[in-house]
Amino acid sequence: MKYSREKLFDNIDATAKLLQLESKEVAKVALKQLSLFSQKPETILDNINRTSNLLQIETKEFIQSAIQHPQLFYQKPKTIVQKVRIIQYYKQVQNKKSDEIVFLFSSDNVLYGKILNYLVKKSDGLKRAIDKKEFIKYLENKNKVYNFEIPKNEVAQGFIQFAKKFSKEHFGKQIFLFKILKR
Amino acid sequence: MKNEKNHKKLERLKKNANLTEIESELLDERSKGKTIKELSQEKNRSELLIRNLINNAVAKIQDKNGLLPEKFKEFSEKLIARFSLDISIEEVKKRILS
Repeated sequence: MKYSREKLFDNIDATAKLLQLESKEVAKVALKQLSLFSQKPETILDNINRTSNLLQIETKEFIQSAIQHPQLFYQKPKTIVQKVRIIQYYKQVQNKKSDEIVFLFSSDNVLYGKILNYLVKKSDGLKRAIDKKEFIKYLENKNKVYNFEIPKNEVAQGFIQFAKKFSKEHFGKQIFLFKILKR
Repeated sequence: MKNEKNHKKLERLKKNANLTEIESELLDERSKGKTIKELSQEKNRSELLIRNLINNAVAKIQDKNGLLPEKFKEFSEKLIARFSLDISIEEVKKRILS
């Protein structure tokens, strides 16, 4: 679809009005997230409302986060929330405070990969971080089956699926076994 | 033979335009005929993002070769004026093409 320049600029004004922001501020954000020029203002507002409802935070608070991370203006609510939940789960697995809302924009697989990496490191008592390439080599050399106990969570099954697929793809067999703790 | 020549030309253009790794990769795949939908599925990214990255890569190449449409400059000027932005046309261009 092609848009006239005026239509793009009008979109910025309309978005600013709906979000109760200055047009100048929205224009600056749009230069970082160009889709703001062409997305329907009503859709942007609707997505913001849905995301803040799902995350149970104030709409204004979410808008401020989106100004800092303009990707939040165009990602689907379900996608944003899923990533937040995976990051929270990562904290939960580490026995850290997990109710904080952190926005990251890596793919779900990268985020799940961090959890798996952490579990392997913890299980083997490793102190240093290992990147993905090293990680695969490391697991190949270890040639062992890992038994992990992980906390119950809405994204736990997604994580297990990721780990199974990862294992099958790289090692041709399942090297990770999981027990979900009920507590 | 012709494909090889086109590939070399594309490589040269890409190199001069300082494309990011993902932009370069997407242009390669696109030039081989892959659709936005296929690339979106492969990279596990939205079609919108893939389309934006490819458009951006093309614009960077156009910019480096003095082929960026005049409309681009006009758009930047009007944007700055309409929203009283305290940035230069070059800055707008840089942000859009970053």
